[in-house]
Amino acid sequence: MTLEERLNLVKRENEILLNMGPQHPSTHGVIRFIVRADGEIMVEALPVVGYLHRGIEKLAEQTPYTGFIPYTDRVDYLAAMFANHAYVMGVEKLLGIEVPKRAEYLRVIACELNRIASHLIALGSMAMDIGAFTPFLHGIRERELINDITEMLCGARLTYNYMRVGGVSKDIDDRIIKKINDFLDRFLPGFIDEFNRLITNNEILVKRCVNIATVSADEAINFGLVGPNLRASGVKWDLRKNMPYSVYPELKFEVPVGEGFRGEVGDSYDRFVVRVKEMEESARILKQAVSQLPEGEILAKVPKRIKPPKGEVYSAVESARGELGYYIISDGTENPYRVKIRTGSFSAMKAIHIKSQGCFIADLVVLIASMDIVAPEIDR
Amino acid sequence: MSFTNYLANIRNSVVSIFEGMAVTFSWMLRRPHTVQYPDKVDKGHELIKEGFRGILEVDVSLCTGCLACQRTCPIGVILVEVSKGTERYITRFDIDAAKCMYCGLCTEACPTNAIRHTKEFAYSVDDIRKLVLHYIKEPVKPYKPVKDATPDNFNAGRFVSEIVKNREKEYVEYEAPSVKIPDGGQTEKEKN
Amino acid sequence: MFEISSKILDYFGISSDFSVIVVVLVFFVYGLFALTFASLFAGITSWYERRIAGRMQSRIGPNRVGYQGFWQWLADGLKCWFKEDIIPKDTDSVLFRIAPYFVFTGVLSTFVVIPFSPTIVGSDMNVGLVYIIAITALVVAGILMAGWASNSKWTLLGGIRSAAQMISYEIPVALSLIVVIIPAGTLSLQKIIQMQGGAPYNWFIFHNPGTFAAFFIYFTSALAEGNRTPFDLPEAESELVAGYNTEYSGMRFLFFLFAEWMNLYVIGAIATAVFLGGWRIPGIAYEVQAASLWLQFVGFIIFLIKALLLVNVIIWLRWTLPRLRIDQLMIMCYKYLIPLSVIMILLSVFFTVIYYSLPFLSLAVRIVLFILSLIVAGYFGYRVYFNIKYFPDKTYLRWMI
Repeated sequence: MTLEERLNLVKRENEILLNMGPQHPSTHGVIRFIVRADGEIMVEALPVVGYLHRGIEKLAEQTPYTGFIPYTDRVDYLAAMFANHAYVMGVEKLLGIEVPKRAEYLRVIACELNRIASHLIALGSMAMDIGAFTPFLHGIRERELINDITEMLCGARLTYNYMRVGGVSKDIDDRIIKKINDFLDRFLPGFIDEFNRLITNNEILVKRCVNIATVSADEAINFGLVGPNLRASGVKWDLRKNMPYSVYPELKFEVPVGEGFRGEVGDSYDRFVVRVKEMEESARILKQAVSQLPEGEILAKVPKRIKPPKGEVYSAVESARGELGYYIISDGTENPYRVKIRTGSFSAMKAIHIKSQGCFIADLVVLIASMDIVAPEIDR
Repeated sequence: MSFTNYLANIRNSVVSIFEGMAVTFSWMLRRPHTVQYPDKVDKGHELIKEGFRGILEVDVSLCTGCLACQRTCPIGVILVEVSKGTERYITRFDIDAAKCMYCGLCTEACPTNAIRHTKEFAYSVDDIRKLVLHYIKEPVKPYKPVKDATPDNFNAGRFVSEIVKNREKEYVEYEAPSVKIPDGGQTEKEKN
Repeated sequence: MFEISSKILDYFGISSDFSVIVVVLVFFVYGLFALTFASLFAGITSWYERRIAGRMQSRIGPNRVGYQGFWQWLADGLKCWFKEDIIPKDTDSVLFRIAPYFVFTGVLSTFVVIPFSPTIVGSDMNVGLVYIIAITALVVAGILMAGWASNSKWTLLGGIRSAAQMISYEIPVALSLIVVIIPAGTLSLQKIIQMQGGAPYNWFIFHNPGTFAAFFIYFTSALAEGNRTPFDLPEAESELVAGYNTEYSGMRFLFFLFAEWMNLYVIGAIATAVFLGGWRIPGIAYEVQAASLWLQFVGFIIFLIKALLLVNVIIWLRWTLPRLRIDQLMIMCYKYLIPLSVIMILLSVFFTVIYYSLPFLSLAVRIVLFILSLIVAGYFGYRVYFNIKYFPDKTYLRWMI
């Protein structure tokens, strides 16, 4: 076997061998696709991952438990709050710490704000990949308001490092609560409806997305898709409902699933619409969480030097990109023995490879965008 | 494709494009959300929010020399040296602002709020060595914490980090001040 | 221009020996005028489009160079001029070099027949519309050349897409123009404008339901022919990096953009001349207008305003709509636009024949169509008002909220 064969770079008859990426406008980061195309129609698009591998899992073995929290921000920069949450929950499970109620509520508020921000980017960039530039900037505008809130809440706009083992780092105050309420007032009926009128119901977008890269429920489970991608295929699986954590059992919300809104169940358009609906649900959760916010401590009593007992734990949260799991093995020292991160984007890459077969080059762009992959999350 | 489907396609396209154009036109009549950053900033628009994690600064008069910040820093950008002996002196407090990732863990570890974040975020320099901030000019005696002190007590006297002021100056090589300990011993640095 | 040259010849009493020189000189000056007009238009539109885009996306847009950033287009032009003219290795260097000029010439050549006023026109050909459809084929050649000569797969895909798209969309363009040619009975742009009245209900767009629909068919397919969003597949930046002009830089790259923005005016001007009454002033007869220099100037302004309104719509569409896929583009052409325009031709024939026997019906249909379009415009205004009210945000119109 030659190296070309191993790297799938052999040119076959009647095929163009296109190298899409690592730098390409619509690969959403540093990902490379080896595209075999017969004219405009693709034979396959083989993802090549690893360009953003930074060895974060290995770094965890050299870092104290608290010191690893900033690293989790860098796994998925668009939804850093969830990575914080999952990791911190794992360490708390190892230590057996009870987190104060107020801290749990603050975590939920931060996470749901982050989910809206992440979905806005996902939807906007999908619209932009299809050619509409305005929805992207309208999404960015709303996300900027969320960034302002998170900046007041935790001091940073992107790499939050908000959560701590046993609670959160900063308390919320009335100014922030007022800002969140202001944002929700404009977001829930106003922005979502306008966004739908502008792009979701647009016939060109519908035609571009409907019946493109349909992933059936069985396939989605076999690919290991998680989160909105899985739910778009009609599988009602949401960790917030199915494996409740934090204070989600106390909050009322629906889990939107793909119903084949304009075409088959599980096509790219379903993935788009499911994200829009999830933003609405997140806004509803936020409204409840802000009104129910209890008084109390924000940080549990935690020893200064965190030394969990020997053992291992898996903790997962429903991130904006689906199940985000941290598997932590402790050997009783200050540093974890091993940390494994399970992310949604990585499994989506396989789905892209299989589903890209036989569609147009323009559809590959839609497919990548609809799966909402984030390059650093694939490679860690 | 049936004929009704054909007509429905035309209808849907026309209606959805019409609605989309109404939305974009309505935005033509609205004020932009962005501000022209250095020139015009809206009145009452708080550019940097309170609690923003900007460049780190140290008030050495409050430093107890406990090395908590150095230990918590995940990437080791802080270097504190405290001389040993009967009378302890802080002889070095360096922060590499170029490597710092503004996670804020050191400020939480600090018992007296001596190390803290400013709101400064623009600090480009022509020489990367200028980004290594040296906070000790003269050996400083560690601060003795008073009883019942809360971190809020220490918030007074915020100063803008010297990096912003030093940007125009020439780069000067820094040497940590050495301390002659009264009993004739050596500083920790000289021992090594 | 022949009329003007003969007038000059008569005025100065120049003998026929030198008349050729004078005619050539007049044409040369007119050519320079058209080139300057087109270039200025392209440049200013590039700035204007970015400002409009900024407003639609609630940001500011370029505002650094001069008042409101007006000289941005000049700064961009200078920047491109001073850039290194990179011709990549392994390109077909001759084709690579001349391709931008093909595109540029193809668009600029339409200015020969596009009128500015009753007498200021390059040449009032009796086959004007056919000339326009024919000469724009140069653009296809240029873009295909650029795509092929760059020797890159992205550009090749862009070039092939462009060839398929532009050749297909010439058919609905031609067919929708035929809808107007039937009542007009001529192919000359000036004659078509003459036959329309100044008042809106006398324009050809309201002549009968067929021409009314043909206007929209023409507009859509002209967008596709000019590679504008939602049909900008040849340079789809999210799929093909930059399509056929990926490998270009500096001034050659600028020529493609020049052609694109000049084409905006061409689309607007043809639609204005054929459907929207051209330079006609309401209530003033053609002969009066043609005789007076001032009225000609007013006509020029009116023509420009109408064309610029259409240019605005094109820009506005670009920042609203996503992009079609290549097969959908072809489906739209062959399944929707071509059959519809054929139906519109039949409708137009039917109404034109009926109008001969029932002249009062002509006025009734015109007024009904005009009122109908006013109602649509009013409903649009209501939707804009509704949008502003529904999602209150910082607005210039405080009273609305």
